[in-house]
Amino acid sequence: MDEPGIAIVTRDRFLASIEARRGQAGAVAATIAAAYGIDLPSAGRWAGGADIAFAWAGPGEWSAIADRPIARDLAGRLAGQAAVTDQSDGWHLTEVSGLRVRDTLAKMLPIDLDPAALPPGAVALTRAGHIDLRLRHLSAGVYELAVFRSLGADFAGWLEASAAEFR
Amino acid sequence: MTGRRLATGGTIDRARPIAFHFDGQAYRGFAGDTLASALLGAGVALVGRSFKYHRPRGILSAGPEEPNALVELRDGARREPNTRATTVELHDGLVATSQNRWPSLRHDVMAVNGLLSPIFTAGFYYKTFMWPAAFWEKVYEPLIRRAAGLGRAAAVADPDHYEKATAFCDVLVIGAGPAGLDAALVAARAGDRVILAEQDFVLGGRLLSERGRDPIAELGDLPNLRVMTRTTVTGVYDGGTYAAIERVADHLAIPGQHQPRQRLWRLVARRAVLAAGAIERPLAFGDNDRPGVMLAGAVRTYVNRFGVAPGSRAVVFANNDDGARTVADLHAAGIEVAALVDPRPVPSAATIAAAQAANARLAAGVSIQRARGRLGVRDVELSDGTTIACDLVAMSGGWNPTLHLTSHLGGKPRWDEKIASFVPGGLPPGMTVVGAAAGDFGSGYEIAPLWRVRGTRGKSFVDFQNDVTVDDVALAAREGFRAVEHLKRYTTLGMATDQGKTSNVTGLAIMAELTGRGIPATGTTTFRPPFTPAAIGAFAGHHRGRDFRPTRRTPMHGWAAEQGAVFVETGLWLRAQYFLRPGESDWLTATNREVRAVREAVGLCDVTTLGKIDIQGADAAEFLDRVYVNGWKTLPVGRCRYGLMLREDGFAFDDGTTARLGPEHFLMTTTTANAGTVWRHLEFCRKVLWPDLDVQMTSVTEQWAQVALAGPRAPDVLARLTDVSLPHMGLAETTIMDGIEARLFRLSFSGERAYEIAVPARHGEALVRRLMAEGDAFGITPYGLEAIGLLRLEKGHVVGSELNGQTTAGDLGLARMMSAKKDFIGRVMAGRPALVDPERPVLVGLKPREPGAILAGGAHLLPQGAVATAANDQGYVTSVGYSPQLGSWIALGLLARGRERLGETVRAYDPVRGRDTPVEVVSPVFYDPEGSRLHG
Repeated sequence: MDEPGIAIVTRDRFLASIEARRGQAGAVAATIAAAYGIDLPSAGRWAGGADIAFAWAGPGEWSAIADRPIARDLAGRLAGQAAVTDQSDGWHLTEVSGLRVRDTLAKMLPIDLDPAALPPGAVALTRAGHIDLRLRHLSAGVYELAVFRSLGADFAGWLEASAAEFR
Repeated sequence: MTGRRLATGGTIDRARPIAFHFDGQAYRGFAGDTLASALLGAGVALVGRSFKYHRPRGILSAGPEEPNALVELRDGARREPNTRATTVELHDGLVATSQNRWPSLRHDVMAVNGLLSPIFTAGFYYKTFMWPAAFWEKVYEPLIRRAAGLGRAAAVADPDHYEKATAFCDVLVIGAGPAGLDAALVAARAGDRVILAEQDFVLGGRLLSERGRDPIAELGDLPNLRVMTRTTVTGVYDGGTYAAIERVADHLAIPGQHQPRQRLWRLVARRAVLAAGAIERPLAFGDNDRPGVMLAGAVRTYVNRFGVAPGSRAVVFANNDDGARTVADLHAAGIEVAALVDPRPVPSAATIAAAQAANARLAAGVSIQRARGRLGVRDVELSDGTTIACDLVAMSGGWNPTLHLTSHLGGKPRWDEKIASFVPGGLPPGMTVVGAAAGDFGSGYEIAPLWRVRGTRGKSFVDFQNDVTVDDVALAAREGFRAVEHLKRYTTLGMATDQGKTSNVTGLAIMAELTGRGIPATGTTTFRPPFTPAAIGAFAGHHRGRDFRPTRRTPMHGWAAEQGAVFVETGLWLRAQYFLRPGESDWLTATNREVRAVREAVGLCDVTTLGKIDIQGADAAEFLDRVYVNGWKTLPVGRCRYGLMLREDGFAFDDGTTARLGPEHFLMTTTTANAGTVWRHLEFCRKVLWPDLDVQMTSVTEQWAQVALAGPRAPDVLARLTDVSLPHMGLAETTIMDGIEARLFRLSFSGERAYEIAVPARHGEALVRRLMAEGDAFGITPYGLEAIGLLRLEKGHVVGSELNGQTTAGDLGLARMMSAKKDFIGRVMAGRPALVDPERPVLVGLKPREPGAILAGGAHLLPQGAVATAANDQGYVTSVGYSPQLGSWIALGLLARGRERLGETVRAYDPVRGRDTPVEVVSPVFYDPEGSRLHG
C-alpha cells in the first residue's frame, strides 16, 4: 500500500519531568547514563528509544517518555539530585507521519520543519496557535506532538482539519 | 468600442471554452483568460460605475492595479465585492455582477451626481454637512453611508474556510517575471532553498504580455525551488518575515472538499528578491475615463497574452517609447492604428519608425485634449484641433516601479529624474530589488514627463477609483492641503482598494507642479500592508467561531455535560456554571438548589482548573516565604495553609492554599484565572531574582483531576472511599478505588465541612462517577460556578472581583497575614502612604434594607442623602448573589472606612440599571461567622 498522505495516531505514554537541583545537572546525567545507558540530550535534542527516552525541556530540565510507569523509579534514583514529577496524565500525545505530514504541520507550527533544520532526534518547544506544544522528530518524517491534556480535544480537531485535504 | 477575440495568438487554450455570466448574461471565454480579458473578448466594454459620479467605466489595466473594473464575484453567501476583474481567473460557472449602479449598468440614476459635480469636489462632505452639528450623526452620516461604498458584502456567514501556514526559505523571490525567474533559478541552482511567489496564475509576468519574448524557460524539477502561483506577497515584517495570500480556490466556483479558499502564509526568508515589476501611469486629459481608454501596456497584454483585440481602431497616446511598442503590437495583430500621439516635440527614432511601419499618423508635440463618447470612446480631440475617430485609446504616462514592499518597514522611495518616477530608497533588511521594480526599464526607455494636459474640457481623472481629478488636486493646493498626506485625506486620492497604484505619483507630481516645490520635496505617501486587498477570513484562518481560541476541558467534562451542565468560559477553560435538572429552566433555580444541597447535605464540584504548581528543593520554603505575605517554614508536613501574594507594587495579586508534601516539597494552588500569570511570576522570581535558591517548579495542573466534596454529609461520602481521616487543613497521600494514587485535602471554600480529592487526570471521570454513586444515599448534588460564587460570598471569601488589581491586603481584611518577620515581594510598596490610607475603601458586606431588593455588581456606594457625584463616591459593589439561606440578596463591596461603619445605611446607586437601593453595611461573613460548620 502506498504511504498515506497523513496518519494520526494517539499514543499513551508514561511521562515524568526532571529538573536538576541547583548544581546537580552533571550528577543527574551520570545517574541516567548509569541506569539507562542514555546520555541526557543537550538543547533541542532528545535521546533514547521507544522504551524510554529523554527530551530536553530547558536548562537542567528533561522530560522522560517511557512505555511503562517511570516517575517513581526516576524519583528514587535521582533523590537529592533532581525534582521528579509524574506527568503521565498531563499531556496528550499524538504521533503523525505520512507524505504530507510537514505540509500539515506547517499549518499549525511556526517553526522550520525542513529535516535540515529539524532532523530526527530534534525536539522543538513551540506553539500551535495559542497551544504550547512539544514536538519530537522520532524518525524520518514521524513526529510526536505533545500538548496539555485539557487541550487535547481542541488540538485534535485542528489537526484533523489541517490534515483533511491530504487524506 | 468593439472588443473581439483574435483568431490566433496568446496563451489561452482555445480548445477549452469556459462559460460564465456577467450581469445575468451568458458569455464564453477560454481557459487562461481573466474575467477582464474574457469580457473584452466578448465585446463587453462597460463593466462598472465610478465611486462618486457614477460615470461609466471600462477596463483600464490588466493587473492588480485596476481601479475601474470592480465587480461582485460569485453570489449568495460567497459574494465578494470590489473584486478586480483583471485578476479573476476565469472558471466554469463564474458569476459576476457589476456594482454601484441602479437600476442597471447602462442606466444608472445615480449618474446625476456627475451633473452636480461642481459641488461634489474635494472636501465636499466636510464643507457641506457641517450645520446643524446635531444632524451629523442622525441624518447626514446615515445618508452618506447609504450612498457611499462600492460593492455589497454577503450578509451571511462565509461558508468557506481559510488557513494560515508558515514556510521557511533562504531566498524569497517576489514576482515571476523575467527578473524574478532569473533570480529564482540562479538561487536554486546555487543550492539555496527558494520560494518563488507569483500573484498571477501562471509564471512569466511581462514575458506573457510582450510580443516576441521567448516562452518561459522551463524551471525544471529543482527540489529546493518551491513555486507558489496565485500567491501575492502582501506585507514585509520584522526578522525577514513576509505575509502572502495564496488564493487556493478563488478560481473555483466552490472550493473542493477540505480545500481552503485562501491561505495566509507567513514566509520567513533570510533574503528576499523583489521582482514585482512596474505599474503604468495613465495620462490626465479630458474624460480620460471613458470605456475604451486603457493603459498601453494592458492593451499589449490583452493582445499578446489573451489574443483579444480591445478595439478595432486605436489611437496611441504616450510620452515615452512604450508608445512605439504598442503601435507595433497593435499593427502586428491586425488592429488599425489611427494615430500615435506623442507630446514630445521631437519623438525618438523608434517612435517615428513604428508609426511609419503601422501606417499611423504621427502627431508629435501634440496631446489628446479630450476623449468623447459616453459609454465608450468614439473619437479624440487633439490639441492641434484635429479629431480622430477611434474606439480604443492606449495611453502611457510612463511606468512606476512596484516598490510598495520596500517601504513597509519605513524605507523612503527616492525620485529618479531619468525615469521620472520613484525608485526604492532604503530597503528592508535582507531585501534586494531587481528588474523594473528597481527602476531598470532597459536601455531604450526614454520619457518626457507629462503630468496633465492643460486647457482641457471635461474631467481629467488622476485617481479613477475615487473620482479625483486634476481640478481636485488644484483645489486642495489652493485650500492649503499641500502635504501629500493632506492631499490624500482631503481628496481621497490613493485610497480604497487600489491604494493609488495608478494615481499616486501623478497626483503628487501635479501638486509639485502647482506649488513649484518639485517632486522630491513634495514626497510620497507611505505604503503599508497589505499590498492588495486580503480577505479577513484568511487572517483568522482556522480560528473562527468556537475555534477563535483554544478550549480547555477537564477530564470530567463529558460527565458534567451528561448531568445537564451549562458551561461558561473561564479563561480558556470551560467550567460548569450550573446543572439544569429536568424541569428547571433558569440559573437561579438550579443554583439555589445546588447551594442548599451543599449547606444541608453534600455537593460535588470539579476544581481541576485551579492552578497547581509542584515546588521542590532545599530552598522551597524560603521561596514561598518570599513570594507569599505569610510564613511557610513553620507549616508542618501534611498540612495546608492559605497564602496571599502581592505584586511588586504592593497590591494583592493572587491567593490559594499551599500544601506541604514533604520537608522540601510543596504543592501550591492558584486561582484558575491567574494560573498562567502566577507561573510566569514565580519563574521570574526563581530564575531572575533569586537564582541562588535551590527551587524546582513544575506545573501539575494537567496531571491531576480534582474534585471538591462539601457539606455536612461530605465525611460520610468520603468514608465510602477511604478510611483516612484528616484534621482541618490536613492532607494525605494515599490510594483509593483499588489502588489509584490520590491526594486528599481537607479544605473549605464554602464554609462547610469539605474535602478535595485529587487523582491522576485519566481517573478523574471514574472518581466523580464513584463519588456520585456513593453519595446518592446522602443526596449528593453536583454544583457549578454560580453556587461556588454564592457559597464563598456568604462566607466573605474574596475572588477575582475583589482581587481586582486595585485592592491591598488591608483593603481585603487580610493585613494581619502580612508577616513582619520576613521580607516578601510587595512588602515595601504596600507601605506607601496611599496604600495604607485609612480612607481607602475596604471590604464589607452589604444587605438591602428592603427585603427582596435586588443588588447588582458595579453599583456605587454613596452616603444617604448625598448627590450622586464622583466627589461623593465612597466605593462600589464587587460581588452579589441571592442567598437562599438568608432569603435575601447579599453583596460584598469596597467602602471607605467600611469596617468602622457596620450598621450604617448607604445607597447602592446603579445608574446603568436605574436602581438606587438603601443597603446596610454588615460584616463580610454572612453565614456561620463562628466557623462552627467547618468542624461540625
